[in-house]
Amino acid sequence: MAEHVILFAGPMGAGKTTAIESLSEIETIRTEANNTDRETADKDTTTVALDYGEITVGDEDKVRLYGVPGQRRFNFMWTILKERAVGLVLLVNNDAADPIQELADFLDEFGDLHEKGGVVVCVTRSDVATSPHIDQYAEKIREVLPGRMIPVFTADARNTDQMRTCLMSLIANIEMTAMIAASQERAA
Amino acid sequence: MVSMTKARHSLGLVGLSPIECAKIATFIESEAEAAGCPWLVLHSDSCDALIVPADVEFSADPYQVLIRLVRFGGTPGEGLSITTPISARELMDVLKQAQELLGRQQKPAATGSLRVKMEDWGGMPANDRHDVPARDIPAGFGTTARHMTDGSAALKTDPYAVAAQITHPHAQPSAMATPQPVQQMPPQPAAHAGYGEAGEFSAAWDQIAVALYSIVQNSAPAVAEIRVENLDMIRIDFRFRAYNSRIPLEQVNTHGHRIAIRSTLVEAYRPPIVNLPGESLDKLFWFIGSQAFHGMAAPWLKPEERYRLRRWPNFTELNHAVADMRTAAAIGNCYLNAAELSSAAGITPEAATRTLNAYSLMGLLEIQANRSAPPVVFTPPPPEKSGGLFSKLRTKLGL
Repeated sequence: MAEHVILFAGPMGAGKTTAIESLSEIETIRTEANNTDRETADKDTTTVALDYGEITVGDEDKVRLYGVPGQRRFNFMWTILKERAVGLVLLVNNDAADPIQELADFLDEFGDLHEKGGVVVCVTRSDVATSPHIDQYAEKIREVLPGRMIPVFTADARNTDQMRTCLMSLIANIEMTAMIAASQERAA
Repeated sequence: MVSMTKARHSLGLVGLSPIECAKIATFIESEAEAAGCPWLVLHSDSCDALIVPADVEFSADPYQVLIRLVRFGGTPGEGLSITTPISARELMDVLKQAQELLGRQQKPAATGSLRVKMEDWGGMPANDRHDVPARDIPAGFGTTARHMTDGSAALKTDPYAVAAQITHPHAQPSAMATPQPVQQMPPQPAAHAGYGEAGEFSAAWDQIAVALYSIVQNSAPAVAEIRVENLDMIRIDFRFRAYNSRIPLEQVNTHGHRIAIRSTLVEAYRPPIVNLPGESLDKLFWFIGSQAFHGMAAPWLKPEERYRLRRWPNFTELNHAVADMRTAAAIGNCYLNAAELSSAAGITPEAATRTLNAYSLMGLLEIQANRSAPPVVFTPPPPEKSGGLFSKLRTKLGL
């Protein structure tokens, strides 16, 4: 069975756990502890190891959804999971103190996944904070990863349809990038 | 059947004062149709005909007719001209001559009669008003627009027929939804809102799209109202890239056969005319851009140019088909024209063109600077036994 690992990364409180719950067809495995950092995200618990969900596609494919903890002190987990991943859903909450910088920081850490597969950025809580606009996220991506096209969407992590759109766009981008690369290789 | 109208040529006002623009717009509004001179007036230097002050150095393209405005004390030169104070009669006469000249010109096959270009719009005012159509306007619809004196330009149009009672219960505002074949009798549902019997209804949206494109390219703080017959109006505030409408977009074709747009410049500090945050303007532009122009390229797009996305459309807020994602992925990763996009994304050339129209109206496209760059030749890999993950997930999720 082919396995496709998709990571869900982003700062604490961006909605990674919720996004996986929206997509997974199994009950999500969560590893949460009491949140002691209420200043960064005002929620009761936070992921300390990883979250896990999956989508089985026929007998041949399984999409594994891993949510990595948002705090930098857990970044040893990031390295382990990145090696197996083909794609990244990067969630950034628009009501963070500096969401554009958060985006830049996570792209710095996970941007190489774009070379392996693809990345999609989901801007959450844009109903709470209407700025920055997704144009500003796209601008930052061009600055950090020039020449790369990473989809940016506003999304509610609780909304299954929206999260499916994000996931399908990620996979469409991965497949199209591979097709273009193969075409150029054959043409060369 | 009711009568509909459309402009035959576009008239650009370049370097004129707001009062001169207002006068010309008013005369065209009140006189042009009766005089047989239907014109779409825009603040652009890439229209079929241009009115430019005689003392301004200006060279028109070969396809354009240049009309000089000779102010007090000036001397008319060769070619067409009008003098101040501008009179309706003189303006109509010169526009008739311009129309004849345009009628004699051999136009390039690939371009339409309306020309709007993407560059050099910076300093132009955005006070455009376009009424589509101008005939048979019942009381309560568009009548206020005919008396506006905001210095705006107006559209006048020639007789144009459209079916009156077509319903489109399955309207799907996605660029991927290919319009149904034209059905004369009985009327059939069409896949596109705005795509009516024989495609006539889209003609009105063509001009709305041109007007909106013009306003957006001007980058001036502006607001606009689109009135759709028998329905509430759509209010747009370009400063906030937002709109309000109590009309579901899918219904505009069901009820509206007459459309009018009015736009006005506003000071940046004025309060918004929409209830913020409102709906994203991208949603409206996606709808209009993918419906307009009958599946032909928008007049501001050039067939020889290739385009690439500046950013992906925000699909979570757009009514989209799954195929739109593949299309965005294709044109997001390399410069393509409509034919190449069609091939890369596996969609019809018409769907590719509609998508480009919508993206360009939304301001998402950048043009390839190096026109001589070789195109990306897509040679799709041999299909996997049961398709790629995208196809499988699509089936699995019932998308």
